[in-house]
Amino acid sequence: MQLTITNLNKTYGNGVQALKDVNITINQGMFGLLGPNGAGKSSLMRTIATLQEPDSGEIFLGNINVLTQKDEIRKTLGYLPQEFGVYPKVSAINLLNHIAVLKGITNATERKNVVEALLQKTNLWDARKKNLGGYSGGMKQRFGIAQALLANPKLIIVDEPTAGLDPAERNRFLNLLSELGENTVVILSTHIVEDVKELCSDMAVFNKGEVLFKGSPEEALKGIAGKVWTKRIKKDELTDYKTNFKVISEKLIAGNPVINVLADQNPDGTFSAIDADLEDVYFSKIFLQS
Amino acid sequence: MLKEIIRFEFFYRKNRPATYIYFGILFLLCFAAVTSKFVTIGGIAGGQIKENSPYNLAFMTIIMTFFFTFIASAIMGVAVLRDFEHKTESLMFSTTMSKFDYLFGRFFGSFIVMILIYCSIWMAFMTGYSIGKFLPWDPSWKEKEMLVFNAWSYLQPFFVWGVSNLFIQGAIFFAAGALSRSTIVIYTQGIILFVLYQVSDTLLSDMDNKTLSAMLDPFGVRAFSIFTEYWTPAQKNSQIVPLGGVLLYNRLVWCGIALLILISTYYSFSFML
Repeated sequence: MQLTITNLNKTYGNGVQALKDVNITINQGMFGLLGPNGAGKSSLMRTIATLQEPDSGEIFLGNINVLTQKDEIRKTLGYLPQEFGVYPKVSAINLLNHIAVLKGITNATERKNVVEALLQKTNLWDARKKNLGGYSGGMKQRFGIAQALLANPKLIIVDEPTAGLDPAERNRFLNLLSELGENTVVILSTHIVEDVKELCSDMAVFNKGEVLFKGSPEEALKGIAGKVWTKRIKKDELTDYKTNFKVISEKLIAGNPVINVLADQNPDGTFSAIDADLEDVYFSKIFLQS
Repeated sequence: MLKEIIRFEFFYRKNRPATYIYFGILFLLCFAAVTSKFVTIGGIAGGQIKENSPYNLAFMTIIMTFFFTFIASAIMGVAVLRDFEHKTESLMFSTTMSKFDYLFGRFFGSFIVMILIYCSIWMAFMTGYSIGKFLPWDPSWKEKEMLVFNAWSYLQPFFVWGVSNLFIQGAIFFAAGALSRSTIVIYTQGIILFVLYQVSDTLLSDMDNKTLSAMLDPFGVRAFSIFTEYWTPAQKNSQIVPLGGVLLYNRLVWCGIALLILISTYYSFSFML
Protein backbone atom coordinates (compact mmCIF):
# COMPACT_ATOMS: atom_id res chain seq x y z
CA MET A 1 0.00 0.00 0.00
CA GLN A 2 1.17 3.51 -0.81
CA LEU A 3 0.14 6.96 0.27
CA THR A 4 -0.08 9.23 -2.74
CA ILE A 5 -0.40 12.98 -2.37
CA THR A 6 -1.13 14.89 -5.57
CA ASN A 7 -1.14 18.65 -6.16
CA LEU A 8 -2.16 19.50 -2.62
CA ASN A 9 -2.76 23.19 -1.89
CA LYS A 10 -3.90 25.04 1.18
CA THR A 11 -4.01 28.75 1.92
CA TYR A 12 -5.29 29.96 5.29
CA GLY A 13 -7.66 32.85 5.78
CA ASN A 14 -4.79 35.11 6.88
CA GLY A 15 -3.06 34.64 3.51
CA VAL A 16 -0.41 32.16 4.67
CA GLN A 17 0.07 29.50 2.04
CA ALA A 18 0.73 26.38 4.10
CA LEU A 19 0.85 23.88 1.23
CA LYS A 20 2.08 24.71 -2.28
CA ASP A 21 1.36 22.07 -4.86
CA VAL A 22 2.64 19.21 -2.72
CA ASN A 23 3.34 15.92 -4.53
CA ILE A 24 4.77 12.99 -2.58
CA THR A 25 4.43 9.23 -2.79
CA ILE A 26 5.14 7.46 0.47
CA ASN A 27 5.85 3.74 0.63
CA GLN A 28 5.53 1.36 3.53
CA GLY A 29 8.16 1.84 6.19
CA MET A 30 9.30 4.89 8.09
CA PHE A 31 9.15 8.12 6.14
CA GLY A 32 10.79 11.24 7.59
CA LEU A 33 9.32 14.64 6.81
CA LEU A 34 12.02 17.08 7.78
CA GLY A 35 11.47 20.81 7.98
CA PRO A 36 11.84 23.80 10.29
CA ASN A 37 9.07 25.00 12.60
CA GLY A 38 6.34 26.71 10.63
CA ALA A 39 7.19 24.88 7.39
CA GLY A 40 3.63 23.57 7.01
CA LYS A 41 4.36 20.05 8.23
CA SER A 42 1.52 20.02 10.73
CA SER A 43 -0.91 21.34 8.12
CA LEU A 44 0.05 18.44 5.89
CA MET A 45 -0.24 15.97 8.77
CA ARG A 46 -3.67 17.26 9.80
CA THR A 47 -4.87 17.08 6.22
CA ILE A 48 -3.76 13.45 5.89
CA ALA A 49 -5.36 12.75 9.28
CA THR A 50 -8.76 13.91 7.90
CA LEU A 51 -8.96 16.86 10.29
CA GLN A 52 -8.48 19.63 7.76
CA GLU A 53 -9.65 20.22 4.20
CA PRO A 54 -7.16 21.27 1.51
CA ASP A 55 -8.18 23.86 -1.09
CA SER A 56 -7.33 21.47 -3.90
CA GLY A 57 -5.52 18.23 -4.56
CA GLU A 58 -5.93 14.56 -3.77
CA ILE A 59 -4.68 12.06 -1.21
CA PHE A 60 -5.03 8.31 -1.63
CA LEU A 61 -4.06 5.48 0.68
CA GLY A 62 -4.11 2.50 -1.66
CA ASN A 63 -7.60 2.74 -3.12
CA ILE A 64 -9.08 4.83 -0.32
CA ASN A 65 -9.67 8.50 -1.06
CA VAL A 66 -8.56 10.22 2.15
CA LEU A 67 -10.51 13.40 1.48
CA THR A 68 -13.88 11.83 0.72
CA GLN A 69 -13.79 8.47 2.54
CA LYS A 70 -12.95 9.87 5.95
CA ASP A 71 -14.60 7.06 7.87
CA GLU A 72 -12.62 4.45 5.93
CA ILE A 73 -9.33 6.20 6.66
CA ARG A 74 -10.15 6.73 10.33
CA LYS A 75 -10.62 2.99 10.75
CA THR A 76 -7.04 2.45 9.76
CA LEU A 77 -5.39 5.62 11.04
CA GLY A 78 -3.10 6.11 14.03
CA TYR A 79 -2.43 9.77 14.68
CA LEU A 80 -0.18 11.37 17.26
CA PRO A 81 -0.77 15.11 16.87
CA GLN A 82 1.71 17.80 17.74
CA GLU A 83 0.85 19.44 21.09
CA PHE A 84 -2.05 17.17 21.92
CA GLY A 85 -3.57 17.11 25.38
CA VAL A 86 -5.25 14.61 27.68
CA TYR A 87 -7.93 14.77 30.34
CA PRO A 88 -5.83 15.49 33.44
CA LYS A 89 -8.16 13.79 35.93
CA VAL A 90 -8.50 10.48 34.10
CA SER A 91 -6.08 7.56 34.39
CA ALA A 92 -4.12 6.30 31.40
CA ILE A 93 -5.88 2.93 31.33
CA ASN A 94 -9.35 4.50 31.46
CA LEU A 95 -8.69 6.99 28.68
CA LEU A 96 -6.94 4.41 26.51
CA ASN A 97 -9.87 2.05 26.99
CA HIS A 98 -12.31 4.82 26.02
CA ILE A 99 -10.36 5.73 22.86
CA ALA A 100 -10.18 2.02 22.00
CA VAL A 101 -13.99 1.88 21.91
CA LEU A 102 -14.11 5.05 19.83
CA LYS A 103 -11.70 3.38 17.40
CA GLY A 104 -14.12 0.51 17.01
CA ILE A 105 -12.68 -2.19 19.28
CA THR A 106 -16.06 -3.09 20.74
CA ASN A 107 -15.33 -6.59 22.02
CA ALA A 108 -14.51 -6.16 25.73
CA THR A 109 -12.03 -9.03 26.03
CA GLU A 110 -10.18 -8.07 22.88
CA ARG A 111 -10.07 -4.45 24.02
CA LYS A 112 -8.70 -5.34 27.43
CA ASN A 113 -5.91 -7.36 25.82
CA VAL A 114 -5.01 -4.66 23.31
CA VAL A 115 -5.01 -1.88 25.90
CA GLU A 116 -2.92 -3.87 28.36
CA ALA A 117 -0.44 -4.95 25.69
CA LEU A 118 0.06 -1.36 24.55
CA LEU A 119 0.54 -0.09 28.09
CA GLN A 120 3.23 -2.76 28.54
CA LYS A 121 4.85 -1.94 25.22
CA THR A 122 5.03 1.78 25.96
CA ASN A 123 6.38 1.08 29.43
CA LEU A 124 3.41 2.76 31.13
CA TRP A 125 2.10 -0.34 32.87
CA ASP A 126 3.23 0.69 36.35
CA ALA A 127 1.73 4.16 35.92
CA ARG A 128 -1.49 2.98 34.23
CA LYS A 129 -3.75 3.91 37.14
CA LYS A 130 -2.14 7.29 37.64
CA ASN A 131 -4.01 10.37 36.43
CA LEU A 132 -2.66 11.66 33.14
CA GLY A 133 -2.30 15.13 34.65
CA GLY A 134 0.64 13.79 36.66
CA TYR A 135 2.50 12.40 33.63
CA SER A 136 5.86 13.82 32.49
CA GLY A 137 6.32 15.02 28.90
CA GLY A 138 7.90 11.74 27.86
CA MET A 139 5.21 9.63 29.49
CA LYS A 140 2.49 11.67 27.85
CA GLN A 141 4.19 11.23 24.49
CA ARG A 142 4.34 7.47 25.04
CA PHE A 143 0.67 7.50 25.95
CA GLY A 144 0.14 9.33 22.65
CA ILE A 145 1.86 6.58 20.69
CA ALA A 146 -0.11 3.93 22.61
CA GLN A 147 -3.41 5.47 21.52
CA ALA A 148 -2.11 5.85 17.96
CA LEU A 149 -1.35 2.13 17.79
CA LEU A 150 -4.84 1.00 18.85
CA ALA A 151 -6.80 -0.95 16.22
CA ASN A 152 -3.80 -2.01 14.08
CA PRO A 153 -3.42 1.10 11.92
CA LYS A 154 -2.11 0.81 8.36
CA LEU A 155 -1.27 4.52 8.32
CA ILE A 156 0.53 6.06 11.28
CA ILE A 157 1.23 9.77 11.53
CA VAL A 158 3.49 11.10 14.27
CA ASP A 159 3.85 14.88 14.28
CA GLU A 160 6.93 16.31 16.01
CA PRO A 161 6.94 13.58 18.65
CA THR A 162 10.42 14.23 20.09
CA ALA A 163 10.18 18.00 20.53
CA GLY A 164 10.72 18.86 24.17
CA LEU A 165 11.87 15.41 25.30
CA ASP A 166 15.10 14.95 27.23
CA PRO A 167 17.76 12.75 25.53
CA ALA A 168 16.92 9.59 27.49
CA GLU A 169 13.20 9.92 26.84
CA ARG A 170 13.88 10.72 23.21
CA ASN A 171 15.91 7.53 22.75
CA ARG A 172 13.23 5.45 24.40
CA PHE A 173 10.64 7.02 22.15
CA LEU A 174 12.66 6.47 18.96
CA ASN A 175 13.18 2.83 19.93
CA LEU A 176 9.45 2.48 20.26
CA LEU A 177 8.92 4.01 16.81
CA SER A 178 11.55 1.77 15.22
CA GLU A 179 9.52 -1.28 16.23
CA LEU A 180 6.53 -0.22 14.15
CA GLY A 181 5.66 -2.79 11.55
CA GLU A 182 7.30 -2.99 8.15
CA ASN A 183 3.97 -3.27 6.40
CA THR A 184 2.68 0.05 7.67
CA VAL A 185 3.02 3.55 6.23
CA VAL A 186 4.59 5.61 9.01
CA ILE A 187 5.09 9.35 8.57
CA LEU A 188 7.36 11.00 11.09
CA SER A 189 7.37 14.77 10.91
CA THR A 190 10.21 16.48 12.71
CA HIS A 191 12.59 19.42 12.72
CA ILE A 192 15.33 17.28 14.27
CA VAL A 193 17.71 15.82 11.68
CA GLU A 194 18.88 13.08 14.05
CA ASP A 195 15.37 11.61 14.23
CA VAL A 196 15.35 11.04 10.49
CA LYS A 197 18.94 9.81 10.39
CA GLU A 198 18.27 7.17 13.00
CA LEU A 199 14.94 5.86 11.78
CA CYS A 200 13.98 6.60 8.22
CA SER A 201 14.69 4.77 5.01
CA ASP A 202 12.99 7.43 2.97
CA MET A 203 12.60 11.15 3.54
CA ALA A 204 11.58 14.54 2.25
CA VAL A 205 12.81 18.03 3.09
CA PHE A 206 9.89 20.38 3.44
CA ASN A 207 9.87 24.15 3.87
CA LYS A 208 7.39 26.97 3.32
CA GLY A 209 4.79 24.51 2.10
CA GLU A 210 7.03 23.01 -0.59
CA VAL A 211 8.80 19.69 -1.02
CA LEU A 212 12.47 20.58 -1.63
CA PHE A 213 13.86 17.08 -1.82
CA LYS A 214 12.54 13.57 -1.77
CA GLY A 215 14.53 10.35 -1.66
CA SER A 216 16.57 8.16 0.63
CA PRO A 217 19.07 9.70 3.04
CA GLU A 218 21.86 8.02 0.99
CA GLU A 219 20.72 9.71 -2.20
CA ALA A 220 20.49 12.99 -0.33
CA LEU A 221 24.08 12.63 0.88
CA LYS A 222 25.33 11.59 -2.58
CA GLY A 223 23.87 14.79 -4.01
CA ILE A 224 26.14 17.05 -2.00
CA ALA A 225 29.15 14.78 -1.45
CA GLY A 226 32.35 16.78 -1.89
CA LYS A 227 30.49 20.07 -2.07
CA VAL A 228 30.48 21.09 1.57
CA TRP A 229 33.43 23.05 2.93
CA THR A 230 34.06 24.28 6.41
CA LYS A 231 36.08 26.99 8.05
CA ARG A 232 36.54 28.53 11.43
CA ILE A 233 36.38 32.32 11.19
CA LYS A 234 36.24 35.36 13.45
CA LYS A 235 32.96 36.86 14.51
CA ASP A 236 33.39 40.14 12.63
CA GLU A 237 34.16 38.30 9.37
CA LEU A 238 30.80 36.56 9.34
CA THR A 239 28.93 39.22 7.32
CA ASP A 240 31.64 39.27 4.63
CA TYR A 241 31.59 35.53 4.28
CA LYS A 242 27.82 35.49 4.08
CA THR A 243 27.84 37.95 1.17
CA ASN A 244 30.67 36.25 -0.73
CA PHE A 245 29.87 32.57 -0.22
CA LYS A 246 26.90 30.24 0.01
CA VAL A 247 26.95 29.89 3.79
CA ILE A 248 24.38 27.18 4.52
CA SER A 249 24.94 26.94 8.25
CA GLU A 250 26.92 28.45 11.06
CA LYS A 251 27.52 27.32 14.57
CA LEU A 252 29.60 28.56 17.44
CA ILE A 253 32.44 26.41 18.67
CA ALA A 254 34.24 27.82 21.71
CA GLY A 255 32.82 31.25 20.99
CA ASN A 256 33.92 31.53 17.34
CA PRO A 257 31.71 30.79 14.33
CA VAL A 258 32.35 27.74 12.19
CA ILE A 259 30.66 28.06 8.82
CA ASN A 260 29.70 25.42 6.29
CA VAL A 261 29.74 26.56 2.70
CA LEU A 262 28.29 24.96 -0.42
CA ALA A 263 30.62 25.03 -3.44
CA ASP A 264 31.83 22.69 -6.20
CA GLN A 265 35.44 23.25 -5.22
CA ASN A 266 37.37 24.78 -2.35
CA PRO A 267 36.06 28.36 -2.51
CA ASP A 268 39.27 30.31 -1.92
CA GLY A 269 41.68 27.60 -0.91
CA THR A 270 41.40 28.34 2.79
CA PHE A 271 38.48 25.99 3.53
CA SER A 272 38.75 22.34 4.39
CA ALA A 273 36.59 19.59 2.95
CA ILE A 274 34.21 17.67 5.22
CA ASP A 275 32.03 14.63 4.87
CA ALA A 276 28.59 16.13 4.44
CA ASP A 277 25.93 14.79 6.78
CA LEU A 278 22.16 14.91 6.67
CA GLU A 279 22.13 18.22 8.47
CA ASP A 280 24.12 19.76 5.59
CA VAL A 281 21.59 18.36 3.15
CA TYR A 282 18.78 19.90 5.15
CA PHE A 283 20.43 23.32 5.43
CA SER A 284 21.56 23.36 1.80
CA LYS A 285 18.05 22.59 0.53
CA ILE A 286 16.56 25.35 2.64
CA PHE A 287 19.40 27.73 1.64
CA LEU A 288 18.87 27.08 -2.06
CA GLN A 289 15.13 27.67 -1.75
CA SER A 290 15.52 31.24 -0.49
CA MET B 1 -20.60 3.86 20.48
CA LEU B 2 -23.24 6.31 21.79
CA LYS B 3 -23.54 4.19 24.91
CA GLU B 4 -19.79 4.28 25.52
CA ILE B 5 -19.68 8.07 25.17
CA ILE B 6 -22.55 8.46 27.64
CA ARG B 7 -20.86 5.99 29.97
CA PHE B 8 -17.53 7.83 29.85
CA GLU B 9 -19.18 11.22 30.34
CA PHE B 10 -21.02 9.90 33.37
CA PHE B 11 -17.88 8.23 34.71
CA TYR B 12 -15.95 11.49 34.22
CA ARG B 13 -18.50 13.55 36.17
CA LYS B 14 -18.77 10.91 38.86
CA ASN B 15 -15.15 11.52 39.75
CA ARG B 16 -15.35 15.31 39.82
CA PRO B 17 -15.79 16.97 43.22
CA ALA B 18 -17.86 19.75 41.61
CA THR B 19 -20.71 17.29 40.99
CA TYR B 20 -21.04 16.62 44.71
CA ILE B 21 -20.54 20.25 45.66
CA TYR B 22 -23.45 21.32 43.42
CA PHE B 23 -25.63 18.62 44.93
CA GLY B 24 -24.67 19.67 48.46
CA ILE B 25 -25.30 23.37 47.89
CA LEU B 26 -28.75 22.78 46.39
CA PHE B 27 -29.68 20.32 49.09
CA LEU B 28 -28.66 22.66 51.91
CA LEU B 29 -30.38 25.64 50.31
CA CYS B 30 -33.66 23.75 49.86
CA PHE B 31 -33.45 22.12 53.25
CA ALA B 32 -32.90 25.53 54.85
CA ALA B 33 -35.80 26.97 52.87
CA VAL B 34 -38.34 24.45 54.14
CA THR B 35 -37.12 24.26 57.74
CA SER B 36 -36.16 27.81 58.63
CA LYS B 37 -37.87 31.17 58.78
CA PHE B 38 -34.99 32.97 57.12
CA VAL B 39 -34.88 31.37 53.68
CA THR B 40 -37.93 31.15 51.44
CA ILE B 41 -38.39 29.96 47.87
CA GLY B 42 -41.24 31.52 45.92
CA GLY B 43 -43.00 32.79 49.03
CA ILE B 44 -46.50 31.68 48.09
CA ALA B 45 -47.18 29.38 51.05
CA GLY B 46 -48.51 30.51 54.40
CA GLY B 47 -51.96 31.29 55.73
CA GLN B 48 -54.43 28.82 54.31
CA ILE B 49 -52.00 27.40 51.77
CA LYS B 50 -49.97 24.65 53.40
CA GLU B 51 -46.22 24.58 53.01
CA ASN B 52 -46.22 20.97 51.81
CA SER B 53 -49.17 21.44 49.48
CA PRO B 54 -48.77 20.17 45.90
CA TYR B 55 -49.16 23.76 44.71
CA ASN B 56 -46.31 25.15 46.82
CA LEU B 57 -44.04 22.18 46.13
CA ALA B 58 -44.53 22.58 42.39
CA PHE B 59 -43.90 26.31 42.52
CA MET B 60 -40.70 25.88 44.57
CA THR B 61 -39.49 23.21 42.16
CA ILE B 62 -39.93 25.59 39.23
CA ILE B 63 -38.31 28.52 41.02
CA MET B 64 -35.26 26.40 41.84
CA THR B 65 -34.61 25.88 38.13
CA PHE B 66 -33.56 29.57 37.99
CA PHE B 67 -30.85 29.07 40.56
CA PHE B 68 -29.93 26.02 38.61
CA THR B 69 -29.00 28.08 35.51
CA PHE B 70 -25.53 28.67 36.98
CA ILE B 71 -24.95 24.99 37.58
CA ALA B 72 -26.52 23.98 34.28
CA SER B 73 -24.24 26.30 32.31
CA ALA B 74 -21.17 24.95 34.10
CA ILE B 75 -22.14 21.34 33.46
CA MET B 76 -23.56 21.48 29.94
CA GLY B 77 -21.17 24.13 28.66
CA VAL B 78 -18.02 22.10 29.17
CA ALA B 79 -19.39 18.84 27.75
CA VAL B 80 -17.82 19.59 24.37
CA LEU B 81 -15.61 22.54 25.29
CA ARG B 82 -13.50 20.18 27.43
CA ASP B 83 -11.89 18.78 24.30
CA PHE B 84 -10.77 22.21 23.13
CA GLU B 85 -9.67 23.25 26.61
CA HIS B 86 -7.50 20.17 27.12
CA LYS B 87 -6.48 19.97 23.43
CA THR B 88 -7.85 16.48 23.05
CA GLU B 89 -9.91 17.36 19.96
CA SER B 90 -7.38 15.92 17.48
CA LEU B 91 -7.36 12.59 19.32
CA MET B 92 -11.15 12.48 19.53
CA PHE B 93 -12.05 13.66 16.04
CA SER B 94 -9.65 11.32 14.24
CA THR B 95 -11.32 8.21 15.70
CA THR B 96 -14.20 6.47 13.94
CA MET B 97 -16.73 8.09 16.29
CA SER B 98 -19.51 9.85 14.40
CA LYS B 99 -20.50 13.45 14.99
CA PHE B 100 -23.95 12.33 16.12
CA ASP B 101 -22.59 9.93 18.73
CA TYR B 102 -20.07 12.47 19.93
CA LEU B 103 -22.51 15.37 20.38
CA PHE B 104 -25.49 13.45 21.70
CA GLY B 105 -23.38 11.13 23.83
CA ARG B 106 -21.84 14.12 25.53
CA PHE B 107 -25.22 15.85 25.80
CA PHE B 108 -27.10 12.96 27.35
CA GLY B 109 -24.22 11.94 29.63
CA SER B 110 -24.14 15.46 31.07
CA PHE B 111 -27.92 15.74 31.09
CA ILE B 112 -28.27 12.61 33.24
CA VAL B 113 -25.73 14.01 35.70
CA MET B 114 -27.66 17.28 35.78
CA ILE B 115 -30.94 15.47 36.56
CA LEU B 116 -29.27 13.52 39.36
CA ILE B 117 -27.96 16.75 40.87
CA TYR B 118 -31.43 18.25 40.58
CA CYS B 119 -32.82 15.35 42.63
CA SER B 120 -31.25 17.12 45.61
CA ILE B 121 -34.27 19.44 45.51
CA TRP B 122 -37.10 16.97 46.11
CA MET B 123 -34.88 15.02 48.49
CA ALA B 124 -34.30 18.17 50.55
CA PHE B 125 -38.00 19.07 50.49
CA MET B 126 -39.02 15.58 51.60
CA THR B 127 -36.40 15.43 54.34
CA GLY B 128 -37.16 18.96 55.51
CA TYR B 129 -40.89 18.47 55.88
CA SER B 130 -40.43 15.03 57.46
CA ILE B 131 -37.98 15.94 60.19
CA GLY B 132 -38.60 19.71 60.42
CA LYS B 133 -40.54 19.50 63.67
CA PHE B 134 -37.77 17.57 65.44
CA LEU B 135 -34.99 20.01 64.61
CA PRO B 136 -33.40 22.18 67.30
CA TRP B 137 -34.73 25.27 65.52
CA ASP B 138 -38.34 26.09 64.62
CA PRO B 139 -39.66 25.99 61.09
CA SER B 140 -42.30 28.61 60.27
CA TRP B 141 -44.96 25.85 60.12
CA LYS B 142 -44.14 24.33 63.53
CA GLU B 143 -47.57 25.01 65.04
CA LYS B 144 -49.50 24.13 61.87
CA GLU B 145 -51.38 20.97 60.95
CA MET B 146 -49.52 19.80 57.80
CA LEU B 147 -50.81 17.66 54.96
CA VAL B 148 -50.17 13.94 55.00
CA PHE B 149 -47.00 12.99 53.12
CA ASN B 150 -47.58 12.24 49.46
CA ALA B 151 -44.48 11.40 47.43
CA TRP B 152 -46.17 12.23 44.13
CA SER B 153 -46.60 15.87 45.22
CA TYR B 154 -42.81 16.10 45.21
CA LEU B 155 -42.02 13.91 42.22
CA GLN B 156 -44.67 15.07 39.74
CA PRO B 157 -43.32 18.66 39.63
CA PHE B 158 -39.78 17.29 39.43
CA PHE B 159 -40.57 15.24 36.34
CA VAL B 160 -42.97 17.66 34.66
CA TRP B 161 -41.37 21.07 35.37
CA GLY B 162 -37.90 20.22 36.65
CA VAL B 163 -36.74 17.82 33.95
CA SER B 164 -38.31 19.84 31.13
CA ASN B 165 -36.68 23.08 32.29
CA LEU B 166 -33.38 21.27 32.64
CA PHE B 167 -33.71 20.04 29.09
CA ILE B 168 -34.38 23.57 27.80
CA GLN B 169 -31.48 25.09 29.74
CA GLY B 170 -29.26 22.15 28.89
CA ALA B 171 -29.87 22.53 25.15
CA ILE B 172 -29.12 26.27 25.21
CA PHE B 173 -25.93 25.96 27.25
CA PHE B 174 -24.72 22.90 25.40
CA ALA B 175 -25.15 24.64 22.06
CA ALA B 176 -23.39 27.79 23.26
CA GLY B 177 -20.43 25.82 24.63
CA ALA B 178 -20.06 23.55 21.61
CA LEU B 179 -20.41 26.26 18.97
CA SER B 180 -18.47 29.09 20.65
CA ARG B 181 -15.64 26.82 21.85
CA SER B 182 -14.93 29.55 24.40
CA THR B 183 -14.56 29.35 28.17
CA ILE B 184 -15.77 32.88 28.82
CA VAL B 185 -19.14 31.97 27.31
CA ILE B 186 -19.51 29.13 29.83
CA TYR B 187 -18.85 31.40 32.78
CA THR B 188 -21.14 34.18 31.67
CA GLN B 189 -24.04 32.49 29.88
CA GLY B 190 -25.77 31.39 33.09
CA ILE B 191 -25.80 34.97 34.35
CA ILE B 192 -26.84 36.35 30.96
CA LEU B 193 -29.80 34.00 30.72
CA PHE B 194 -30.79 34.77 34.30
CA VAL B 195 -30.73 38.55 33.70
CA LEU B 196 -32.50 38.27 30.33
CA TYR B 197 -35.19 36.26 32.03
CA GLN B 198 -35.69 38.84 34.76
CA VAL B 199 -35.97 41.63 32.19
CA SER B 200 -38.39 39.80 29.95
CA ASP B 201 -40.42 38.76 32.99
CA THR B 202 -41.02 42.43 33.81
CA LEU B 203 -42.03 43.12 30.22
CA LEU B 204 -44.32 40.08 30.09
CA SER B 205 -46.11 41.05 33.29
CA ASP B 206 -47.32 44.22 31.55
CA MET B 207 -48.87 42.29 28.70
CA ASP B 208 -52.63 42.16 28.40
CA ASN B 209 -52.75 38.90 26.48
CA LYS B 210 -52.22 36.38 29.25
CA THR B 211 -52.06 33.32 27.06
CA LEU B 212 -49.36 34.85 24.90
CA SER B 213 -47.30 35.96 27.87
CA ALA B 214 -47.66 32.47 29.35
CA MET B 215 -46.37 30.97 26.12
CA LEU B 216 -43.37 33.29 25.88
CA ASP B 217 -41.92 32.26 29.24
CA PRO B 218 -39.35 29.50 28.62
CA PHE B 219 -39.43 28.22 32.20
CA GLY B 220 -43.19 28.14 32.58
CA VAL B 221 -43.52 30.21 35.76
CA ARG B 222 -45.97 32.62 34.17
CA ALA B 223 -47.95 29.79 32.63
CA PHE B 224 -48.09 28.13 36.04
CA SER B 225 -49.37 31.29 37.75
CA ILE B 226 -51.97 31.95 35.06
CA PHE B 227 -53.16 28.34 35.06
CA THR B 228 -53.71 28.35 38.84
CA GLU B 229 -54.87 31.97 39.05
CA TYR B 230 -58.45 31.16 40.13
CA TRP B 231 -57.70 28.09 42.23
CA THR B 232 -59.11 28.14 45.75
CA PRO B 233 -56.82 27.43 48.73
CA ALA B 234 -58.57 24.06 49.12
CA GLN B 235 -57.68 23.16 45.53
CA LYS B 236 -54.11 24.31 46.00
CA ASN B 237 -53.80 22.11 49.08
CA SER B 238 -55.27 19.01 47.53
CA GLN B 239 -54.76 18.99 43.76
CA ILE B 240 -51.61 18.28 41.84
CA VAL B 241 -51.18 20.95 39.15
CA PRO B 242 -51.78 18.92 35.98
CA LEU B 243 -49.92 19.15 32.71
CA GLY B 244 -52.81 20.62 30.78
CA GLY B 245 -54.04 23.69 28.92
CA VAL B 246 -51.61 26.55 28.67
CA LEU B 247 -49.07 24.60 30.72
CA LEU B 248 -49.00 21.75 28.25
CA TYR B 249 -48.66 24.10 25.28
CA ASN B 250 -45.90 26.01 27.02
CA ARG B 251 -43.93 22.81 27.61
CA LEU B 252 -44.48 21.58 24.05
CA VAL B 253 -43.37 24.88 22.53
CA TRP B 254 -40.23 25.26 24.62
CA CYS B 255 -39.14 21.63 24.55
CA GLY B 256 -39.65 21.81 20.78
CA ILE B 257 -37.45 24.90 20.60
CA ALA B 258 -34.81 23.13 22.71
CA LEU B 259 -34.92 20.18 20.34
CA LEU B 260 -34.47 22.52 17.36
CA ILE B 261 -31.48 24.09 19.10
CA LEU B 262 -29.93 20.63 19.48
CA ILE B 263 -30.61 19.74 15.85
CA SER B 264 -29.08 22.98 14.58
CA THR B 265 -26.08 22.43 16.86
CA TYR B 266 -25.60 19.10 15.15
CA TYR B 267 -25.62 20.70 11.71
CA SER B 268 -23.49 23.72 12.68
CA PHE B 269 -20.83 21.85 14.63
CA SER B 270 -17.72 21.14 12.61
CA PHE B 271 -15.87 17.91 13.21
CA MET B 272 -12.70 19.54 11.88
CA LEU B 273 -10.01 21.59 13.53
